[in-house]
Amino acid sequence: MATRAQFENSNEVGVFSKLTNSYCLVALGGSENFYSAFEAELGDVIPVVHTTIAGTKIIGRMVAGNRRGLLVPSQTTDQELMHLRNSLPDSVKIQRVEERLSALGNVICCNDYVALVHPDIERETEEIIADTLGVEVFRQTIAGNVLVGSYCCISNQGGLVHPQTPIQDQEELSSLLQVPLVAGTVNRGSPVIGAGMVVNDWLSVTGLATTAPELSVIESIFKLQDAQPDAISGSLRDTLIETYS
Amino acid sequence: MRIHSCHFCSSPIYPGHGITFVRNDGKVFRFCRSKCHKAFKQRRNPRKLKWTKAFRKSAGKELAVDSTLTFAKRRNVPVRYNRNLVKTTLNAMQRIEQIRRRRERAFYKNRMKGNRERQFALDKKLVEENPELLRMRDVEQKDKQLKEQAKEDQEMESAEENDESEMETTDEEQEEEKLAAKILLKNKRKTRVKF
Amino acid sequence: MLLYKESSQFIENKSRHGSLQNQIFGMYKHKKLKSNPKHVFALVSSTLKYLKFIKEIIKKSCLLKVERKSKIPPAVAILLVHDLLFTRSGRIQSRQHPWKEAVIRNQTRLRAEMTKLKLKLHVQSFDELIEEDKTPIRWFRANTVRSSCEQIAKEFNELERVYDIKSIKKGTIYYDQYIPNLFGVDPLEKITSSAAYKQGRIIIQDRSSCFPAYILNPKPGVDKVIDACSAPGNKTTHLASILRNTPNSIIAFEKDDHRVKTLEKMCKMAGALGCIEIRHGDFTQTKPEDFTDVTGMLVDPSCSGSGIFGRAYEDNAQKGRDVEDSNDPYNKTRLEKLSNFQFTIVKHAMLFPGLRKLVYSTCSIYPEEDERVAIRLIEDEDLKKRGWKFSPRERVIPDWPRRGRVEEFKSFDDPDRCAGACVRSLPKVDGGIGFFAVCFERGPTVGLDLETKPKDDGLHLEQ
Repeated sequence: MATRAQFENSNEVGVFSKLTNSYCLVALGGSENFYSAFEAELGDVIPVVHTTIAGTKIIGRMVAGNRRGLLVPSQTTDQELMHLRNSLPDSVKIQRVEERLSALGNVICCNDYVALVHPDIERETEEIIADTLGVEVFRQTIAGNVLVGSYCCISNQGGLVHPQTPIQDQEELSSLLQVPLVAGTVNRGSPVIGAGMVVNDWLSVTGLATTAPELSVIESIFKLQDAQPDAISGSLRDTLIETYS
Repeated sequence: MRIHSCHFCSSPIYPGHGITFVRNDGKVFRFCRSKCHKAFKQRRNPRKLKWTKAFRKSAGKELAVDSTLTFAKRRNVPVRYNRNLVKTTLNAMQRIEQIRRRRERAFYKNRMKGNRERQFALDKKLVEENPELLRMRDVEQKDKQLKEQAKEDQEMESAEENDESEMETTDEEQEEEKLAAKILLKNKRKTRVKF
Repeated sequence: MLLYKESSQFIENKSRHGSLQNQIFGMYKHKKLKSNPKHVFALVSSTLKYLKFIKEIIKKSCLLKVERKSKIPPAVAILLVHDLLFTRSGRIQSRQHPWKEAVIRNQTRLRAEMTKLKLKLHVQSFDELIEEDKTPIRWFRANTVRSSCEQIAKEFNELERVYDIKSIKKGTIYYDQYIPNLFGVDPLEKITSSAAYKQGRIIIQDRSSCFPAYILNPKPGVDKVIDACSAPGNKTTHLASILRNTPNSIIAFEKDDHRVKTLEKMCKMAGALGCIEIRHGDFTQTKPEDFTDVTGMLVDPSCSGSGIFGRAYEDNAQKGRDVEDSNDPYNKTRLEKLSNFQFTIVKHAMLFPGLRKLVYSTCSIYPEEDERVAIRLIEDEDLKKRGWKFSPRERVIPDWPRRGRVEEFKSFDDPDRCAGACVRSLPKVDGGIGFFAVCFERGPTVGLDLETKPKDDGLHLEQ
C-alpha cells in the first residue's frame, strides 16, 4: 500500500516519521490527517508512537531503526527515552548513541539485514548499530553523498536511491543489500528520498506532492502490491486517474 | 526537566540557571554561572582551581573512588516502567545516599586523623626552639629595665651621644621584630594545617 | 595469545628452510614452541591460504591504524583476523588480551570489509578463489612383501573399478597401467584408516615416485642395489617389493639422524628389513671399491621440491611472491647449489665398479635440476670412459608419454633418443607430483634387464 500524506504543509514525511516493520514513530503536533495515514494502515498491527526527539519534531532524521531495534541520538532526553521504551514492544531494543553525527536518520540507512552508514561514523557507533539492529554495517556513499540516510530508502523488498546514482554504484549497492534497487525521486522530483518518504515491507508513505509515476515506481520496487507484471500498469492507471480527476 | 551538573565546578544547575555552550562537534557544556563560563572560556583547568569539585577530587580532598558514586550515571539503555522497580529504586537511592554520607564522613575523619598530634608536635618544637616565649614576663621586665637604664644614661650624658647604648637599643628592637615574625609564622602554619 | 604469538613468526619469516610442517614440529621438538604444534600448523597453513584476502581486509578496515595504541604486530593481527573471519567458529582462541579486544572491537568493520571484498571478487566464498592444492589422486602401492596385488584388490573390492584416470571419484578405484601393483583412488577415500594401510600391506606413494624403482627393475637373486638417499623409504621399500624381499639385496643410505629413524620405521612397517640394510652415513663418503657386488643404483638427492604441491601458499608467503620463477636470483643461486650437489652425488654413484644401471630422479620441474644435470653427467670425461650412456626408451617405461625436454638435448646428435631416457610428470596434470627420472646404463649386463623392456613380473594384474 502506498499512501501520501503531508505534515504541517510539508511534503517531507520522512523527516517527521519513522516506519519499520515492528513500530512506527510520528512527530507530535501534526494534523489528524497525517496520523490517520499511518494509523489507518498500521493501527492494529504495530504501535504508532507519537514522540519528539530532543524536543524536536524532526524525528525521522534523528533516529535510525529496524524491526529489531531503535537508535536515538545523545540529545534525546531521559523522558523521551522512557516514553519510547514504554510504548514500543519489548522485542525492540532501544539505545541512545553518543555520536558526533547526531542526526542518525541522515547517516544510517537500514533494513532488517543490512545498514549503510556515513563513512565517518565512529567505530563504537558502528558496533552499536551491528549489535542493536542486528545488521551488517557498511560504510558507503550514495551518488557521492555521505548522507546515506537522506538519499536512499530501503526495505527488505527493495530500495530507492538518489536519481543520479551511477548504474555501477547501484549494482554494487544492490549486491551489498541483496535487494533490487532503482534510482528515482519522490515529491515531484526531489532527490532527497530518505526525507521524502518512509517505507516498510507493506506500507509506504510519501509526500503529498509525489506524482503518480513516482508512486508507481515506489510501489513496484518495494513490492507493495502483489506485483504481477500487468498490475503495475494497472495501478499506474489508477493513480493517474486519481491525480488528474 | 533534569538537574544537570556544571561542566566546570560540578555544582547542580537548576532549570533557568546558567548557560549552555554547544560545541560544533555536538558536545554540550553546561555552566552554573558566569564565573564558570568565563573560566571555561579562558581555558582554565578546573583541576587546578581549588574551588571546583574536580580539584577536590583529584587532590584527594573528597571521596573520588567509591561504588556509591557509580550509581549516578547516564544510562543509554532505558528500562520499561515498572512500579515495583521504581519503588525499590527509590528505596535504594535513599539507602545509597545514606551509605555515601557515612563513607564521606569516614573519609573526612580519616583525612583529619592525627592533625591534633601533629599540631601539638609543631607547637612543642616551636617552644623548644624559642624558650623565651614561655617567659614573656621576664622578657618584658628586662626590656623595661633596659629602656629605663637607657633613659637614665641619656639624661646623664645629656649632650654627648653614646654610640654603644645606641647600638644596644637597635639590637633589642631587631630581636623583638624577629619574635613577632615567628609568631606570625606559627599562626600561618596553623591555618594551613587546619584547612 | 601465546598460540598467535608463536604462530606469527611463521607468517612473517621470509628466509626459511624446509617445509612449514617440518619447521613447526622441529621447533616443538627443540622446545622452542610451547603451544600444540598441530594447532600452530593448522592455523598457519590456513592463514597462509587466505593471506592475500586477510591482508586486504585489514588494510581496508584500517585496523592497525585505528588500533595504533594497542600495538598489534601485523602478523598477529593477520592470525587474529583469520580466526575471527575465516574459521567456522569465528572465535579467537585466547583469553582476555588487549590485542584480542582490539580486534573484537573492530569486528563489524572487518566483517563488512570481508563482504565487500567478496562482492568485489564476485564470489560466495573465498574458497572458490583458492586453487585446490591437493593431490588429484591418492596413489597407493600393494606391498608385495606382505601381501599380493590380488589380495589388495580383493580388500578394496567394494570400490568400483574404473579404467580411466579422469573418472576417478569417491567410491572408485583405478589400477594403474604403467606401474604394476599401483592403485589410484580419490583423495577423500579414507585410505589411512584402513587395516591394510595400518598393517603395512599398502604403502601410499605417488605414481611418479614409483617410476625410479620400476625403471631400475632389478632381478631378485641376481642384483644388489643401493638407494643413495633413501629416507623416508618409499622407493626403498618399492625396490624391496620388486626384489621380492631377497635377503641382503638392498643397501639404503641416509645421512640425517632424524630421517634415518623415519626410514627404519618405514622399512619395518613394510616388513622389508630382511632385505634392506640401512646405513646411517653420507653416501658421498663411501668407497666405491667396497661395493663391487652392487649392480644397480637409485639416486634421488635433495632437490628444490618444486614439483611437490601443497606447499605453494607457504612458499608464496615465504618469498613474498606470487609465482615461483626459476629466473629469480634467490631461486637461481639455490638451484645452482642444488644441481651441483646432485651432479656430485650421481657422479660418485657412477664410479661404483660393478654398477650397470643407475636411475637419477628428482621431484623438481626445473630443467636445471633435471635434464641439465643428466647432460653434465653424460658429458663428463670420467664417466664417458666408463661407458655410461642414456638408456633407450624401450627400457624406460616406453608407454609413458611425457619424456625429457627435447630442446635441452639440442647439442646431441639424437635429442629424441636422449629425451627418451627421461620420464617427466607435471604436478596435478599427470595426476600427482611433478617428477623427473633418467636412466643411465653401461656395458655388459650382469642381470639387470638391458635387452628387453621391463616386463611384468607376474604380479601385474591384467589391465
